[in-house]
Amino acid sequence: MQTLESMVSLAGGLLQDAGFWVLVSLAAGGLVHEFLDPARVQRAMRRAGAASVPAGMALGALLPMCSCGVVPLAVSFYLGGVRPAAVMAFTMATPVINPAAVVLSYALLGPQLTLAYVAFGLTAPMLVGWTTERWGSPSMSATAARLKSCCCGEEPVSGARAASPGERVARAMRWGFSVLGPTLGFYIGIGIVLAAVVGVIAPTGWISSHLGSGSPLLSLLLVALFGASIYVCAVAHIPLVAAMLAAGAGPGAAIVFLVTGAATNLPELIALQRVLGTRMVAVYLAGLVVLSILAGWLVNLWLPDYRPLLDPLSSLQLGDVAERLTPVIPGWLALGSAILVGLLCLWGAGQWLARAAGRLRPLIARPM
Amino acid sequence: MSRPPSRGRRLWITAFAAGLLPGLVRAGPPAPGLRTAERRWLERSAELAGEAQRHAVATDFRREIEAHREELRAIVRNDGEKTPASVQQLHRTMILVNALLHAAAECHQGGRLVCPADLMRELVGQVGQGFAQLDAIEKAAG
Repeated sequence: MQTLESMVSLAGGLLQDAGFWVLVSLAAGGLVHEFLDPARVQRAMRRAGAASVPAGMALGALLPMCSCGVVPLAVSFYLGGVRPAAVMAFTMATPVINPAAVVLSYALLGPQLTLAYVAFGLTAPMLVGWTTERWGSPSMSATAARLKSCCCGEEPVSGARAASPGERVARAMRWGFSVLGPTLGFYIGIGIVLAAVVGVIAPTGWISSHLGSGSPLLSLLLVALFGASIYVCAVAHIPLVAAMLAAGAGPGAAIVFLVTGAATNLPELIALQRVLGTRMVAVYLAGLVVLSILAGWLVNLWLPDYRPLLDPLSSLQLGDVAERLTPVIPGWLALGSAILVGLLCLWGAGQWLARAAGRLRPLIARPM
Repeated sequence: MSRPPSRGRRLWITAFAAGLLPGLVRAGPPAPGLRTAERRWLERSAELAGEAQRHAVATDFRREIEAHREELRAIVRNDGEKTPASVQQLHRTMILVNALLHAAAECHQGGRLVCPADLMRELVGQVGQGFAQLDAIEKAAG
C-alpha cells in the first residue's frame, strides 16, 4: 500500500513538474502546425542544408523547457516537414542546456565542468540528430500520419474567404489540444506511470553508490540508463549533482548523470516512439547514452580528482542570476496544468481504447 | 594596622563578584575561532531541512529560504577577502546547502513540499558536512 502511495505521489509530482510546459508546448505546436507550410519548410531545409541542424540545436538551447515539455513542439516540427536531424537536435538540446542551467552550473560545479557541460550540450545534440536521420526510419508512423491528416474537419473550401489570423490561432489551439494533446498525453501518461515505478523500486542511494571516483564503464552505463529514464530539469538537477561531487563522485560520472537525466526520460521516449517510430528513438537513445559515456570518460581523463574551488560570494551572485533566469511557475498554475494534462491523458486513453475496440470488433464478429 | 574584612563582608563581596563575573564574560569579545554566525545558519538549515521532510507549505518555505540566503550572503561578505581556506571551504558547503534548499523549494505538490529521497539525503548530508567542518575549524582555533 505504501509503495502504491509512493508511486501515485511520484507520478503526481512528475505531472506537476511537467504539466505547464506540456501545455505551452501543445499551444506552440498547434501554432507551428497551423502557420508552418510544410512545402516552404522543405524548401528552406534544402536551402539551409546541414545548417538546419545547428539552427534546431540553437533554438532548443534557448528555450527553458524540460524533456517532457519539448515533446509536442518537436512532434509539430516533424509533422511540419522539418528534417528529422534538426528535430532530434532540438529535442535533445532543449532540456539539456539553457541559460539558467549554464549560470547555475558555473556557480556550483565550477568553470571546467561547466565548459564540459556546455560543450556536450552544443555538440551532442547535432551528432545525435545526424545519427538518427542517417539510421532512423524514413517512413512516417501510423500515429504521425493520423496527426498529420487531421485538420479538425475544416479543410479550406474553394472560393471561401481565407481565415482571419484569429480564426487560424483558434484552429491552431483546437488542433494542439484536441488532436495532438490526447494522442501524446496518452503516451506521456504511460511514461509517467513507468517512471514512477522506476523511481520507487530503485533503491535510494543507488546512484551515489555508482558515482564513485573512477567509476568503471558498467557503472557509467547504468548511471546513463537510469538518468535517461528519470524526469529531472537541468536547473533542479545541478545542485544534486554538485552535492554528489562534493561527497566524492567522479566528475565524469557526474557529467553523465547530469546530461542523461536532463536530456530525456521515459514519458518523452514513449511519446516520441509512437510518432517517430521505434528505430529512430532507439538510435536517439543509443546515441545519447554512448556520447554521454564518452564525455564522462574524457572528463575523467581531463579532470581527475576534480573538486570545484569557487569564490563563495561569486557563487551566491551567480546563483541569484540563475534564479532570475528560471521561470517560476506558481503552485496553483502547476496544479491546474497537471490536472489538464491528466485529463488529456485520460482522453487519449479513451481514444486508444475506442480504436482498439474498433480493430477487435471484426475479429469478434467473424463467424466461427 | 587595619582589621581584615568580617566573614559576612567577605561573603557579600564573593556573591557580588560571582554575580558580576558572568556579565563580564558575556560582555567580552567572543572566543577567537568561534564561528557563531555560521553555526546559527547551519542550525537553521537543519530546521529548514526538517520542515521540507515534513512537507512544509511551499510558499512559506520559499520565503524562509530567501531570507536564509540573504543571511548567508551577509556572512560571506562580512568575512572579507582574507578568509582562511578552511572557512572558505565551509562557506562553499553552506552555499551548496543553500542551493539544495532552493531545489527542495521547487518540489511542491498541491502547495506542499514533496521532495525526492535522493535530494533530501544529499541536503541532510551536506548540513552534516557543514557542522563537521565547523567543529574542525573551531577545534583548530581553540
